[in-house]
Amino acid sequence: MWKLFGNNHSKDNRNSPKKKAVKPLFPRHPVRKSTPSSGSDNKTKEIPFEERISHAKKAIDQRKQEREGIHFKTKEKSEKQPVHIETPELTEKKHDPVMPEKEKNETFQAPETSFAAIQNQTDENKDFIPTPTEKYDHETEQLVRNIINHVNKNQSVKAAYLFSIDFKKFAEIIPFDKDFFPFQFYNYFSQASKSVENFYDSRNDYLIIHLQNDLLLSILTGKENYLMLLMDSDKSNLGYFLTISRKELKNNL
Amino acid sequence: MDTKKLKQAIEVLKESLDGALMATDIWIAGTGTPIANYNSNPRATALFDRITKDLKKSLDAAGFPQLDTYYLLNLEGNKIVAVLSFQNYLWGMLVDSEKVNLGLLLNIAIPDALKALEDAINS
Repeated sequence: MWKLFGNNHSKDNRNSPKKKAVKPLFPRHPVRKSTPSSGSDNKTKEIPFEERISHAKKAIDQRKQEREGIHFKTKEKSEKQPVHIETPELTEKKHDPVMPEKEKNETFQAPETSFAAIQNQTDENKDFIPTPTEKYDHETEQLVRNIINHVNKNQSVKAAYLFSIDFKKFAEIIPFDKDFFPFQFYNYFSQASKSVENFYDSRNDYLIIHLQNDLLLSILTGKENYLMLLMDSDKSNLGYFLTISRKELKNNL
Repeated sequence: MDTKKLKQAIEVLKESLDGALMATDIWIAGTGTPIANYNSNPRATALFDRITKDLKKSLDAAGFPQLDTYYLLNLEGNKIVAVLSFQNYLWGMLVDSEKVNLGLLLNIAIPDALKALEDAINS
């Protein structure tokens, strides 16, 4: 995570009386505190927020290039290798051996959204890397922290990030003790969420992903914000969270 | 893979969800074409095949652990979309959340469905 904001940890001097007025947007997690580099006078100036964002963008770009096969297809590549969704094979009504034809006609049919349009829209936005430009106010962060604390007595929440839906704001409510790139995942989520919402003509309420190592990644949708939580699936009280806490979040965020 | 058992797996799911299952498709990842279904929606299959593929890439790029057995989206209007992942197979389902609660879906229906799918694939 901290690679995103430049490699200036050793020069950070938050305790210096001169720097007290400048509060860093994303304070480092204690676990990741490194020993001060030798010879550093600990008096280097704070890097402006915009510059840190620029560093973050560069770091994500670099990481994307390094990871073979991870970066999404560019628009140019998509044009060379178009994905043909509406082939006759796919659109053709097949005989369903499980269900009688009469019953089938009475069951739910998804709205006829243009999948090709969704597909194109998704492709065009895939290389977009969102960058936050604003901070949440203290009250909002504290509100989210309090809601999470209700379900986190057993330390089941491993990480929590708050994003505004337009991604102008970002806050790391509970940092994780290893390098995560939640921006990268947010980009995917926002695109996938839009595709599904358009397809079913319903707003996404929450997403739960069962991950390896007994973890659950959930993203709750509020009025203007998303809350991304990484939870321990063994310890977490998912039911409580998805009913009581989610209502609080939905009403207040 | 035993296709008869795949169809049985769908029956198991229908039974577990007790009328809440609106549509379901089982397909091989990357094809987007169902090999067993109930009230099939090929557009949804193609969409979720793509979404799942991108999800795996994005989790990796973000440094998160990989997708394990399922992901689900709860949509306003009492709809839950769940996608199960087992080996190279994906199983998507649309569920009416008014007729079934999340606990039953996560703790009974999905584990039972995965067990039936595993049995069908390994046969």
